[in-house]
Amino acid sequence: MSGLAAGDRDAATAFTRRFQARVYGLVLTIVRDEGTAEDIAQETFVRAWKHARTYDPRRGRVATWLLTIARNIAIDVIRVKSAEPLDPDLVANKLQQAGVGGSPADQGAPPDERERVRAAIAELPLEQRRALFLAAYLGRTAQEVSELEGVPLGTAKTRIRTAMLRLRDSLETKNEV
Amino acid sequence: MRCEETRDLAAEIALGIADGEERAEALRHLSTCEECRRALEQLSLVADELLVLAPVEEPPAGFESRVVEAMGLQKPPGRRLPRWLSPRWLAPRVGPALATAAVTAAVLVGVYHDDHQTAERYRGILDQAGGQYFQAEPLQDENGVRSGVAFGYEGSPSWLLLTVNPAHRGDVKSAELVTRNGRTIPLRSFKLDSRGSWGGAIPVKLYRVGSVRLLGERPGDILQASLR
Repeated sequence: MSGLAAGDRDAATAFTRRFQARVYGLVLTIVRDEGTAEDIAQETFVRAWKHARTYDPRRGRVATWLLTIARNIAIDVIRVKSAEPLDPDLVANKLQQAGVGGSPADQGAPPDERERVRAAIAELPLEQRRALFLAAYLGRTAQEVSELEGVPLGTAKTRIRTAMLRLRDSLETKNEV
Repeated sequence: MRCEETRDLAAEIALGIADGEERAEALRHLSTCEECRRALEQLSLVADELLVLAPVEEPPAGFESRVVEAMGLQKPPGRRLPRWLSPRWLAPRVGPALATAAVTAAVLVGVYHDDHQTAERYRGILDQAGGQYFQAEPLQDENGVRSGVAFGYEGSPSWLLLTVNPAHRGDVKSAELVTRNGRTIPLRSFKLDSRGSWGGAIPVKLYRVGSVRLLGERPGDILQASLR
């Protein structure tokens, strides 16, 4: 990160190589178009480079910082393009497929951690999982989840909150084992 | 906002989807409540973990070179600007969003600063976008019932953002401008999105527009905003 912040070309190249598959994979999952995904992934690294000096390691890992930037840009783009809402079940399938085998390019969280998160999600009731995916990956607000799922706003909020709390509890439990 | 309400909203804040006003209230509470802050931090970690789950996929060959070029760390051999970042593509699409943000900013500034500062900020926002003024007027049905909002921006180009309440979205099929001298101009690109909004550049200066009309299939299906 210090090399990136200093504008070192080799450091920037190494940084990009290290995280590019993770960033591009997330963005492609959200926007479903290779050209747009590449543009967004590129913009993600440029923004990370511009803001590298403000990155605070106490607030999270580099990978999640970068993925949050990527997710936010991707959500902005699909909103501007007024793209059709993505079916959260498709996202769920992609995430499950991503769990098979793994990849040497995976430089983010340790594999066991990813599996813990994935297992916790698999235990969620379907309606909570859908609400969670709509919110977490597609940036849909509770109001939008309510409209997309045809349920009252209060129900949408409860589904999102309950899913997050269950996930938190599952992770805490498994971390304690 | 109290602890219970803040905790109810914490998941949405952690996921970055909380409504701006609610979020601001919760953040005010969080600045004074250690327990709620800890609860939010835990949920923020969960939100981070969710992103880690995304599939890993290599981008097309040469990606890192293009990134480094885009950073300006390498001489760019004809770098392609992302299409969705080009001014021609972006301007008519994000213009309305900028207008909304600017109007919101002006309102917020009005709450927290005196009138002089508000005017300064407003002028600054307009300068940034090369514009003259913003306007927001209610869209009303034939009974005068408010059914949405028309945001307008006078600049180069001038543009409109139209938002229609859920109860009326299904009725709206097309839109047109009626100029102050009575000329009717159809908005050919008009199409409400899933959230009941449309935004885009308009082919005349905003100050020449007398009203915006959203039309349905039946003659009586008209929502209208007067911009006079």
